[in-house]
Amino acid sequence: MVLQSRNQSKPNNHFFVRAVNSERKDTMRIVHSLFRNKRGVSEIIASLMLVLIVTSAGVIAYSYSIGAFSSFTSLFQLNTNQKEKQAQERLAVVAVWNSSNQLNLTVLNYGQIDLTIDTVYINWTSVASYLGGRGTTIGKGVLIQISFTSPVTIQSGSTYEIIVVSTRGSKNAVNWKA
Amino acid sequence: MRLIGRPNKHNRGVGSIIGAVFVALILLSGLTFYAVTLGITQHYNDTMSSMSDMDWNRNQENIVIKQIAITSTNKLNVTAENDGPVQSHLIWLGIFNKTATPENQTYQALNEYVRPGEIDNVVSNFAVISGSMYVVQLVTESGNVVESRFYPASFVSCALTLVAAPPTVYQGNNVTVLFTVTPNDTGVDSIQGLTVTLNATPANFVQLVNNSSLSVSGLAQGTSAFFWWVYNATNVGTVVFNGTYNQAPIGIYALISINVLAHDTGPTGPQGPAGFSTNATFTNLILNYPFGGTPTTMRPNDLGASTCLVYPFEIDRNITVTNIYIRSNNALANCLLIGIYDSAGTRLYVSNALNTVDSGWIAIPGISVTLASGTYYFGTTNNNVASNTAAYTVTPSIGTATLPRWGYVATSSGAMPASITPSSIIKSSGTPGTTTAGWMCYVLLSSVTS
Repeated sequence: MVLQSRNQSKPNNHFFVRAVNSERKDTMRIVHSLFRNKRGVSEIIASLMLVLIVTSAGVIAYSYSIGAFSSFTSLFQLNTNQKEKQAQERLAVVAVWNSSNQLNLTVLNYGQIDLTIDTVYINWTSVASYLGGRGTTIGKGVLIQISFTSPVTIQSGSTYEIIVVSTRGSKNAVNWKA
Repeated sequence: MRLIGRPNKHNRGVGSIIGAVFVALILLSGLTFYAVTLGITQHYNDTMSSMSDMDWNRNQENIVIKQIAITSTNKLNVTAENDGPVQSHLIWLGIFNKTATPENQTYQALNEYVRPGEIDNVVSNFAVISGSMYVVQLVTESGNVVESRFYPASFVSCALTLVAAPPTVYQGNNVTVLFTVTPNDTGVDSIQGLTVTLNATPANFVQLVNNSSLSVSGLAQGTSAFFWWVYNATNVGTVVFNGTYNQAPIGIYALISINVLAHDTGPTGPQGPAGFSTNATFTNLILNYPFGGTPTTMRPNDLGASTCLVYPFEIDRNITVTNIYIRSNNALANCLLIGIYDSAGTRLYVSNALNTVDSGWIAIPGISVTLASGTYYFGTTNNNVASNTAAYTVTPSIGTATLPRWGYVATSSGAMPASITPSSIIKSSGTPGTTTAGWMCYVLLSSVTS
């Protein structure tokens, strides 16, 4: 609209062209000026945005990696620790004696850590009725007596396989002749 | 900070730096966790290595219970030896009373280090009951358990050996009896107290002079205990010794017999009777007599006039017989003729009629019969004397046994045959009498070696 009014007031083409050029230069100057100002603000924001984006991405990646590493390490440590503890366990049934159907085992902990007896099997049958000793922590180099009712009938002269299992899964098997 | 306008060129790449920092942090974290994982793995490996060493030590450990004994205060004295190449740490002594019902188990804490090859004594701090069956247990820190069954003698069979030296002894001399007891019962590792006994039958034939200690405290399986007794032979005859130990199971004993011979003083004095050479040696025919027992007597009537007793003997060198001495039992005149025959039966010597003497020696001096080494026969007849006087001393009856060339040949009128046929010697004990089947004993040929 402005251009149209300018063309109407200057019917001469030459004049008209010059006027238009002049006017375009002014417009361009203004636009250029405006554009130039706008470009400076965008770089800072862009920089900030980029910094934010990179920082956020870095934090996310770092957090994820820390979590992953931590999780892996914890799991690894847990597994290794369990295996290590089990490997450090040593137990031996050093004596067996019975009174009717009540069996008494003397168990020695000769490993490097304390242990606890969890289960006893007589001829592959789990003992159901314990009279003492089960669940008691056995220190290193300590003997403990485990008393229980045999799940199978004890006959004099017969041989029985007795398996003692700790809570960590270590076991010791003996063949005992009644 | 400038908010409007072109950013300073120094601010360019901030995002990359931040990103790089995070990447570095992530990498560092990864390395850290890797290091932690490596540390955990290393610790695990160290633990496994430690347990492996422990298992190796356990396998190498070898504790042996050498002996168990009950002390005077009724404590158990356990002797253990470390036969393994590693040091052992004994941490428990277990004593189980198998006689008690229910079984009684007692554990005593120990802290005994036993180096390789070292022997250690462990004394229990509680009393035991002698006569009860015990199982003794030693537990090491490595988890090894060694047990020993320590039973009373009444539950154990032993190998017994009884030896008498010498097996034949003259009356008045000593005989030593050696007794060895070796537990060989595989079901028992050690015997508690062991007391041996030795009985002599007949008891009055020997007299105890001295003996070793008759008891041992604790005797391990396979080891032997030695005992000895010295007896003086007081009476002539056979003595049987019976050795065993107190509470031994039925049938566990050992027997040995000795022969006690009558005391033989021989011809008196080193110079002896007339004609006894100073460089003479004696050939004692009785040494060839293969049986023990008590010498007995024989009468001329037992011998009979138609019998010539023949006894073979051997000499291993050339000798010249200068004297003959014969032991007799009773004095009787002219009741004996003696002769010597060679291996072909040719008579080499015949005596005159000899008088027997009362419990003494008949001396026949002035002989000079040369005998080369070889086999000869000694003959005796009764010179046709009929008498019931037990004039002769003879070996005991040999029962129904038959010995080669131990016997008699026929003669007449009690004369010494001019020759005999060795193959015709009657090798029988039946004649001249079942009770006098022996032969003259204590015949000494005094001789010089040619």
